[in-house]
This record gives sequence, C-alpha cells and structure tokens, in this order.
Amino acid sequence: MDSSLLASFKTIGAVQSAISNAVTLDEALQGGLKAIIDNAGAECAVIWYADKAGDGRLHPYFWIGPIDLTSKSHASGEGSVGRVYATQVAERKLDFNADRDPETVRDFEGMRVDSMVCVPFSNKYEELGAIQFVNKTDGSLFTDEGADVMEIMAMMAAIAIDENDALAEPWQPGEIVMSMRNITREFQNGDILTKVLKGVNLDVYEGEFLVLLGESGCGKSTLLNIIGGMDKATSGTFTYLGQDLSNATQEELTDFRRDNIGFIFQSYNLMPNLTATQNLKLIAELVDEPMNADEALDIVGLDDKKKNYPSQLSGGQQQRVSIARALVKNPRIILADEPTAALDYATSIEVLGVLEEVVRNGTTMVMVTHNEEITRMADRIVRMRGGRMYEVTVNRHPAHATDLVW
Amino acid sequence: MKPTQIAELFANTKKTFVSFFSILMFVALGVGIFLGITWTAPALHNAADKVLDEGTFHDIQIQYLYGLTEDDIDKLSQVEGVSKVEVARQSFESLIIDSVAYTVKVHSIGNEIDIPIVADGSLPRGPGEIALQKASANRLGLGIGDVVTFQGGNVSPASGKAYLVSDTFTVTALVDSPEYIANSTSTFGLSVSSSGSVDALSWVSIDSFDPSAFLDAYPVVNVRCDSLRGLSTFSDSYKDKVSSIEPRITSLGDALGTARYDDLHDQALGKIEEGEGQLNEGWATLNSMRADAESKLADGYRQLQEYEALKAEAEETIANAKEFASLADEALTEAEALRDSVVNGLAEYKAKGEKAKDIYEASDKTAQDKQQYDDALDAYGAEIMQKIAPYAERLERPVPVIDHDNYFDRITQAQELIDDFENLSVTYEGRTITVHTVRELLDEAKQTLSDAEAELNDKIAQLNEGWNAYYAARNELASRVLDAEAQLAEGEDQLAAIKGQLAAMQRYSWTVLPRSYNGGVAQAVLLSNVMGNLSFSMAALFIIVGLLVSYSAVSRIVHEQITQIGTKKALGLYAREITVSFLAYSALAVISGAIIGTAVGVTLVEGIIGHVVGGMFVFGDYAPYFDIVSFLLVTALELILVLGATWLACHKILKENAVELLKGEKPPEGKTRFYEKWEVWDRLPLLTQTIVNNCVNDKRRVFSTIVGVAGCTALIVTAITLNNDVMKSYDKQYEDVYGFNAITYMNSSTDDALKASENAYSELGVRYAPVLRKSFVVQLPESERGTIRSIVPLDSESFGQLYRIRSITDDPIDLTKDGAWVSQAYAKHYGAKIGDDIVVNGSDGMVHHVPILGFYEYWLVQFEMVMGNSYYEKEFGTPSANVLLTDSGNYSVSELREMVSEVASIDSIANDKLSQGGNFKTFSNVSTAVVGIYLALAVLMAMVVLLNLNVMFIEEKKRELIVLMINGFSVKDAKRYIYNDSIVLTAIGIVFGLILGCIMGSITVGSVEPSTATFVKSIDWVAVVAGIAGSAILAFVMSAIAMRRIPKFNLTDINKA
Repeated sequence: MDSSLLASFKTIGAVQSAISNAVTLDEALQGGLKAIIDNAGAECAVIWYADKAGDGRLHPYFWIGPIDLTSKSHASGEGSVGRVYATQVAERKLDFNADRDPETVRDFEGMRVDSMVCVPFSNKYEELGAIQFVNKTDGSLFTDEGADVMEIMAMMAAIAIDENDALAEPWQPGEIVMSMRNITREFQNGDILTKVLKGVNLDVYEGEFLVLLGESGCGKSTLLNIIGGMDKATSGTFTYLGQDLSNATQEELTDFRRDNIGFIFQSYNLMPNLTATQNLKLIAELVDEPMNADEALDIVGLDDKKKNYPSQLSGGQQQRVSIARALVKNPRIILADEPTAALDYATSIEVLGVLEEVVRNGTTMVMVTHNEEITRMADRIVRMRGGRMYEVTVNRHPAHATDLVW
Repeated sequence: MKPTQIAELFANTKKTFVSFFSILMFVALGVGIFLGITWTAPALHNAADKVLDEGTFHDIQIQYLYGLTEDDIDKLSQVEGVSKVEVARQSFESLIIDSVAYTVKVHSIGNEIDIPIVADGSLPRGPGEIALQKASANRLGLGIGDVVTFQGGNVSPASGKAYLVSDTFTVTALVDSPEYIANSTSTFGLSVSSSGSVDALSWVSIDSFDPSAFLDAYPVVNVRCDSLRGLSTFSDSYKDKVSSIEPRITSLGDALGTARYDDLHDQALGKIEEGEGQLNEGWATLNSMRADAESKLADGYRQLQEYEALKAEAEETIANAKEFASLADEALTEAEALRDSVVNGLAEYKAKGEKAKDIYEASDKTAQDKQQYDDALDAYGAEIMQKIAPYAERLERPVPVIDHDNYFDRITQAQELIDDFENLSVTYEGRTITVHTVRELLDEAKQTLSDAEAELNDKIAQLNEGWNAYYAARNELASRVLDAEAQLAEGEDQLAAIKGQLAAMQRYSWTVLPRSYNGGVAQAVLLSNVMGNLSFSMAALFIIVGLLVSYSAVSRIVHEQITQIGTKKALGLYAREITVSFLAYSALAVISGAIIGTAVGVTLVEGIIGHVVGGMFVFGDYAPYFDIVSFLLVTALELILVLGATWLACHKILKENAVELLKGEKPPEGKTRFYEKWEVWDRLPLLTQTIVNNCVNDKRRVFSTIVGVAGCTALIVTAITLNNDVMKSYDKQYEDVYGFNAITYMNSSTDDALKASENAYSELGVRYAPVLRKSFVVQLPESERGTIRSIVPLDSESFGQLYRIRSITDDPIDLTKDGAWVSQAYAKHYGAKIGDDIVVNGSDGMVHHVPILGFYEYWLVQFEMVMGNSYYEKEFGTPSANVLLTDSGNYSVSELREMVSEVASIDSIANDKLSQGGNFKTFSNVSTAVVGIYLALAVLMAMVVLLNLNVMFIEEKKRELIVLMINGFSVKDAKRYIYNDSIVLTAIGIVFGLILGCIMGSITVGSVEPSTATFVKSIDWVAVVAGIAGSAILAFVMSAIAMRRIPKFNLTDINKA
C-alpha cells in the first residue's frame, strides 16, 4: 500500500478515535482538530463557526496555534473563510500570497502565513462554518494530498455534530485590556542564547479567567511576567488598554503594576514578619482607593486569622492571604502563578474557590498552571508549547472549583 | 579532604565571596593591626640598637657626685664583665642667642664609648672647637663655622673654677649621639641652671675641660661590656646580663664611694680647721691693727686740741690788738679832728676877728662900735682859749689869754702852741714818734695786725684740715673694721655652713645607670609599651568583631546551603565531613586573611606608625619588622577562634536529620509577642510595627549590624577621644590649674633681682608670682629613678592667683604643713598614699625623705610637688625665688620678652605653655597616627561589616522586595523598606558604639599614659558627635551602596524557588 495513503488512513482513524472517545462535543472537536493538525503537520488550525443566532458572522470556535483569534470574525463571503463558508468549496492556497488574501493576513497578525488550506465545515443538516489550516510545522507547504485528507477530516469532525448537538453560543468576551503581538523573549547566558518566547500573540479580555497551561519550560511563566510588567519582551508589542508598554521604563512598569495588577504566587511570598492584616496593609497603602484589609481577609475567609503571622497559618491560609493581598488594591487584573502548586488537593480547591469568587466579582484573572483540571474553571485556556501558544480554547461551560477532581 | 571536596570548597568560596572576604578581611585587620602595632616596638628597637651600636653606646654609666678617681677607674676596669671603661666630663653652659638664654650641655667626646656620629663636618680635635647635636644646631640656628661664646663660664661650686678652659668655641661638626637618640629635649636630662632644662647638646675634646674644676676626679664614667654585644638593648637577655654585672659595679661603688667620701670628708675637715685658723688670725690682726690706728688717732686728736688752744690765744691777742688799734685809730682820728677843728677854728676866728675889725673899721668907730668890736674879739678869744686849753695842758703851758687887745697876736700864739704840740715826740722801741707820725705808726701797726690775722686764719684752716683728716681717719678705721669684721663673720658663717654641710654630707655610693635609664632609650621603651597596649586593645576589638562576622557569615552560608547539606546527609555524608568543609572554608579565609593582614601590618601599619614614631628619634623612618613565630602564633590563635565560631555556627544545623534539612530553611517563627497585645501597638504606624518585628525576628542580622555600627562608632569615638583627651589634659592644665603661661627666669636669686623684676612687671601690669622652681632626682618605687619638679611659693597670695592648686583628696591644700603636695600621677602610677615619703636626692648631695601630704590636680607630663616655704627651709635651706610664674596677659610672650629686654634682672622668659605643648607632641603624634589608622579602620569596618550586612540583608530580603516591587513598590519604596530598618539598627548601634567608644577611649588614653602623667579621661563630645555623624554617614553610604542592587533586581526571579 502506498505509504502516504496509509498515513492518511491512520490520520483519519486518529480523528475518528478522538471524536468517538470524546465525552462532549467540544472535546470531540478539540480532539479531532488536534488529531488533524498532528497528522497533517499543520502549525495552526481554526474551526470558524457561523453564529447564525447572533450576528451571523463566522467566529473562531476553536483553534490550535500560536495565535489568539478570539476577537476575529468574518462575514460570509469575506476572505477565504467567508468564501469557503459561502460557497462550501475549499480554498487551497498552498503557496500563500498575502496580497490576495489580506483577511487571512489580518487574522494571523503576528505570524507569517506561508501555506493555507480552508475547507468547509458542515454536517448533513447545515453549513456550520469553515476549518482553516495554516502553515506546516516543518516549514514546507501543504500539498494537494494533504489538503484532501484535511477535507475528509473536516467532514468527519462535522459528522460528530448530530442533529441533537449544537455548538454553544460564541463566547462574548469583554473588551480587550491587554494585547500582545509577536512577543519574544530571549535570554543570553554566556554564549548561549535561549529563546523562551518565540512570538506570542494574545489578548486578555476584561473579566475573563484565562489560564496559561503548558509543560515546564514552555514559557508560560515568562509570558505571565511580561503580562504583569515584571519583565519586558525582547521584541513584539505589549499594550494595556491601548497604552503601549513595550518600551516602558521601569518606573512606568512599576506604576502599571501598582495601579492595575495583583499577584498571587505559588509560594505565597508573604512578609514573614508581618501579620496577615499587615501584609495587606503594606500593599494597600500603595493605592488611593484600596479595599479595606479586613474586608479583603473576610472575602478569603480569614476573618479570624487577621493577626496571625504567616508561620501561624497553613499553606492554604497563607495563599488566601496572598489572594487577599492581591485583591486589596482593587486591581483590574490578578495574575496567579501556580497558586495551588504547593497545596494539597483540599486546600487547592479551597483556594480555587476563592479565586472563582474573585473572578465572578468581575476581576480579570490570568493564571499559570500545569494542572489540566484547573482549566475547567477557566474562560479561556491558552496552551503553550516550545515558547509559542499552541492552542487557545474557549471554555463555554466553566466548571466550579468544587467540581474539580485530580 | 577529597579532590572533589576541595573543588567544592573553592566553588563555594567563589559563590560566597562576600562572606569569605568578610572573614578574610577581619582576620586580616585583626592580624594586621595586632602584628603591625606589636612589631612597631621591635622595629623601633632595631633602629635604636643600630644607632646605639654605631656610637658604641655605654652599657652602664656611673655617675658620682664626688667623682671617681684614677684608682677607682682602675678598680672598675677589673670588675668581672666590664670590658672597657672611659671617663667623661660634662658641664652646663649658658648661651645667649637673640636675647634668649639656652642651656647647653657640654660633653667630652668619647674615644671608644659614646662616640658622636658625625652628620656633617669633623669632630673637634682640641680646645676651641665644638660639635653640636644636629637637632640642637637647627633649633639654635647654628651651623659649622659659627662661633659660640658661653656666658661667663659655669663655675664648679666645689673647686670654684670654671669647668671649661675657654668660653669661645668654633662649631666644627654636626653630630648625633647614641646617648640622645630621642629628639625631645625632655630626654636630655636636667641641668643645674635656673630653668633645670637642657636646650642643646654639644661635645668638645676632653682637654677643653679644666680637670681641677672637677677636683681631678670624673663625675661620669662609661662602661662597655663585651658579653652584651649582639644583644638588643631592649631584650630580656640584655637586661638579665646587665643585671648580673650591675651589682658587682654597685658593690664596688659602695666601697669606693665610701672611701672617696671619707677622703673628701677628711680633706674638708682639714680645710675647715685651716679656715678656722685663718679666721682667728684674721680677728687677731684686725684687733691689733684697730688698736694701733685708734692710738694714732688719739695722738692726732691731742695735737689738734693744742692747736686749738693756740688758735684761741692768737685769736684773742689779735682781737685785743685790733680793739686797741681801733681805739687808737678812733682817738687819733678824734685828735686829728680836734686839731683840724682848732686849726680851722683859729683860721676861722682869725677871719671872724678880721671881719669884726673890718666892720669896726668901716663903722663910725664909736665907742659903742668899739665896744662891740672888743666884745666880739673877747668872745672869740674866749672860745679860742677854750679850744687850745688841752694843747696847753699837754704842753704844760698856760693857756694864753686872748682878748680884744691881743686878739690877732694871740691867735698866732695859739697856732704856735698847736705846732708845738704836734712836734711833741716820744721814743718807742728805738723809734721817735711824733704826733705827726702817730698815724703812720698806727697804720703800720694795723697792717701788722692784719698780716697776723691772715696768718692765723691760715693756721686755723690747717687746723680744720687736721680735724677733717682726723675724722676721716676715724671713719675709715671704723669702716675698715666693720668690713673686716663682716668678712670674718661671713667667713665664720661660711665655715659654719660648710661645717653643717659636712655634717650632713652623706656617705652614698655610685649611681650605676644601665641603658634603661637613658632618656632616649626610656622614650623608646615608653613608646613600645604604648604601642603594645594599643595593639592589644585594637586587636581585641577586631578579633571580637571578626568572630561575630565569621559566625554571622558562616551561619548565613549554612542556612543558604541547608538543602544542599540535607542532600549530602541524605546521600550518606557524615555531619563531621560536612563540618570539615565549612571549617576548611573558614580556615582558608583565616590563612589568607592572616597572610594579607601580615603584609598590611608590615607595610601599612608599621609604615604609618614607624613614620610618626621615627620622627621623634634621630634616626627618622626605620625598617619594618617581621617575625615568623609571632605570625604563626597569631594565625593559629585566629584559626582556633574563627574555627570555633564556625563550628558554633554550623553544628546545630548539622545535627538535624536529612529530611528536615531537605525541607529548606524554615521561615522565621511567627508568634504574637507580648507587646503586640498592648493597645498602643495597634496605634503604631505600620512602618514602625514592621521595623520592630523585623528587628525582633532577625536577631542575627540585628545583632551583627548593631555590632558593626557599634564597632565603627566605637573606633571613631575612641580615635577622637584619644586625640582630644591627650590635648585636653594640656588645655585643662593651662585653663583650670595654671593661671600663668610663661616662666620668667631671673639672673640671680637675690632680693634685688626679684625686686627689679617685680617692678618691671608691676609697671607693665603683668601678673606674676615669685617661686623657687627646681628639679630633683627622685627615687621612685621599684628601684626606678625619675625627676620631680618642686615648686616653693614665696608669696602665697600671688601664687594662689596664678596657680589654682586643688587637692584631689579630702584634705584641703595647706602649705604650712611639713611635707609636699604631689601631682596626682604619682599616686596613680605608683600607688603612693598620704603619709608615704618621696625620696629626693637634693642638689646638696643629700637624700631627703619628703612626706606626702596629699595629691593635687595636675595634667602635665611630669611629676611635680609643691612645698611650703617653711618646710623647704627646714629641709633644704632658705628658699629664694629663682623664677616668676608669669601671666603675660594681653601681651604675647615674645612681646613681653621684648618689653623687658632692658631689665637686667630678667634672664629670659620661657613660653611655658608652648614648651609644655612639646611634651604632649609625643603623645599627640602617636595618637594622630593611631587616629588615622582608627578612622581608616572604621571605614574598613563599615565597608566590610555594614556593606556585607546590608548586602546580605538585601539578599535575604530580595524575595520580599521583589514581591513588593511586583505589587507596585517603586525602587524608592523598596529602598525605604530596607532603609527604615537600617536607620533604627544604625541608631541602636551608634548608641552602643558611643558607650563602647567612651570606655575604649578611656582605656586607650590610659594605655598611652606615661607614668609621669594622668591624662583627662572624659566623654569627649566632639568625639561623640563625630562618632554619630561618622557612623551615620558610613552606614548611609554603605547602605546606599548595597541598595544599588535593588533597582537591578530581576522581578522574574520570584519564580525561582
């Protein structure tokens, strides 16, 4: 048998397996798409879904790749995605010409598009949208054979949506508070140059619970440092509410942190010589309209431990103080770096419950974790791999902390 | 240790270099300071020994008031251990340059011992040539070729002869002498001049001295001992060997001294007897001569009396003759007048008669006319008869009757009668005397009388001269007798005084002086002791702080590496093996520090102190000293101490099991402290609460910082206290004790000189107090000898105004009591008590036991005692003022000097305040060098301790700071967070440092205190302020340097566990 054909069969089988083993429709689509891009060797794949009940435009429902498409959309017939949806005919731009497809270029701002295949996404009942594949990871161009397989796989994925299933409403994010484009971060260590971030494109939306997920060394903490103004990107653009902080001075970054960011650390980092209240007050004094320290401690359920020193508190209690400390400034964004990594399960759930409450109250939360289960609480999950965003998932049904099990 | 462990040791060292360097630095400082200062002494000794050897300095000097005879010297040469003996002579001469009198000590040049070291020119070869000490020549502004003339020449009281055969010398050389290696004139010894000080030194050939002035003996004899060669003057073995020779010489001196005494005593007795004989003879001669003279005077008196009688007789005769002549003259004049009136009357009557005749002739010639005419003639005739009656009577003739009938004829007759009368004559002594010649005769007689009177007057004048001569002779006799009696009485007094002195003349032996009694050597020993004391007090501080630093650094490393230690233990390493790695780490730091410290000690510390100390000696800068044994001992001691501190720092943690250690460093134990329950606590600002809790929780850092700041402050305070207290003693003396600033030396101790000087000062409105100011050699406890200056006030009121003598004991000063009030240093350094005796060698050669009445406040570098007038008289003889304690008031001393330059009684005026300042210079020089070192070390300590601690603190707080900065603390906020703690700890450290500094300052001042002085030991507010300011600035600077790291913090390091 032709080896390429065999590979195609294997890919189709993998997609079928991923879909059939999935518990939910989202999982099925996600698993299917992963199987496709893994087998097709694609760098990026996007399921565009037409919001027929809403604005009628095509929104990215799910995508894998180093790009944040959350806020992108296309009208039917607009760009490759719009055209494929409208015509239900795949477009193959194996050697992509940017001039001929500016919409795609705009969607993938922050990464170069070399090769693109866009196939219709529809089941037997209706046209759902389009699936777009961009670039091959090995730098080569897509082939027609590959594109054929992609079309088959897209059909298979669409088949997974039966008549009873319907894709959720497109996620309606708040306004973008932070925007990162093509962010890189390199570290020079002697003669060795380490590229930790290799071009990240991500937006953070008001009120969302964004989880950065990835293996150790994938760059998630580095990205969080840049988001928190603790570190500066080597290149790329970082804006906060439209203000470009890419080249901000340390003083400007300090002001940014002081006024907008709350931090929660894995190892709590409380001042050991200060009581719980004092730890909060120390930070509260930095801003003009802080939350009352006692109130913040009440929120995290530590009203009876206000005068305790860190060493007199359990790990979970310390982390709650840490959360309260982040809250006390009334920040716009709270950044949490592995907040439960040092805690046992029960304590972790306690702490996550507090964080859930914080997000529910409207605070934007960006959390770095390697705990897959926690992603279930998130509005969006950005998976990172090798210094790039590998996958951005919108969680249309966030779970409660108490639902998490690991 | 295995190769990998060694590799790890070096890797650790590199990683924790600041801590390693801290230990190294403190070891280096401790070792460097201790050895550097300690070795200053042997280095100084070596330099001194070099000069002493070069000038073949005597090992022992024998001084003997009665002088050693040639026989004595022969016997001395034969004493076991004595290799060479050489005689010497010396005198003290006065040299006046620009109206200032200098006392110059003139020595004979040694041929083999105490040879001057020629710096320029050539040594004197005969009389009339002189070599001057180089420094003295500079001081006096003299050079080679200059001619010096000593004033009057100092005369030996024993022989009455001048010591020098000539007063005038030409300077031929500038020299240094092994006998005077120190530059300070206070080490030149005492002179017998009024001031007691020696201002300059000189050497002449021995034949420039008149041996007879020294009674043909030698008051100074120098001895060299070959067995001492090769030994340092300052070594114990030298002292031991000298101690074995010295008693033999002393013993010989006892015997020969006694013999010499007996000889001189007998000679003196003989001379006294001779003197008594001469006196008696003198009295006899006087009495005889007086009797003879008185007899002659009596003869003269008698003769004069006779002349007086003759004079009276002659005067009477002449008076009678004169009276007679006068009467005769009167009578003759009367007779002549009568005759003239008669003769003239006759002519007149004749004319009247003729006129009457003419009238008649012209008349009618009536009867009446006739009658009238006749009557007129009759009347005229009667009158004529009356006139001529005496002549007629003398001629024994009848008076012719004259009437109108014979009127004209009888007038002629009357004329004839008168002529006859005048022709009368007598013969007297062969001469015919007529009335006509009486006048002539009378005149002759009068002339004779006048001549006789003139002759008499001459005789009377001669008589008066005779009387004058008589009285002059009588007065002269009386005067001469008085003089002779006075001379004889004086002779008797002198004889009595000599008898008294002879009776009091003591039979004492030779004064045997090893090198340690030499002023220069003593100065070197004094400075060595000062350095020794300083080295211990200084090194102690650095060793203590160094140990704390070592403990703190190792403790920190251990805590930092706690997980590594746990891992090692988990992997099977024994605690002792891990301990060894820490000990090796410390040992490496100690050994490196000791080597660096020694290098610093030898080059820097020895260099700085050597430069200062060397400046006080003729040899100047000198080579540093190094001694491997001391180095090894000190290094070993440091090793033991630091390794002990290291063991203490790590042994507790190393006892923990691996599991505990692997959990990493436990956070500080948080607990609610008692003060947090106070109501006031909650009201305190968060900042204050944070600072308090930080300090309470981080005791190690708090303690180390406080120690560091305290050490730094203490060093500054100690340094400045040392510098100021020494000079404060000087100021205190002239502000609180002395009301005078100058000493006026009078050219004699006579009342006249005193009066003249007093008058001069009274006119200028300058305050003064006459005193007897004299230095004595005093036998100190523990067989030492020293000098003590005695003050005897001669006017208690003015003395009280210019010398505020204050007792430091309960007894108030009372100068009427028998005994002396003594300066406080004597009590302090020799433990003398009231009632003890001071044993004083009087200039009379006698030993006097002066009871101590009490002690008084006194801050200068010398012993002093004040005695009452009456006690001094009783013990030492009548005191007479030799100086005036002088308050120059509105004038400078030089102005005052100029103003009284014409006052003959004032010899010179010394600026006492200025010259005493010189004595303090020794100590202030040392203290200035030490101050410099202390301050440099304070900076070093600040750098090492404070910088290290700050860096460590910031490192330890790095995570907290990053968290705060992530949360929006600006760099300034973060710095303030650190700085607040530092300010509080610095303040606490400064307080402790001030206390420590004041104590150390007092101890250090005490350690540089010579036995003759007590320095002020007070809290020096300048030092306190400087300590506060210096430490605060250093703490601030070090903190600022350490905090430069804060802006460089990488906030992403928060992710690193």
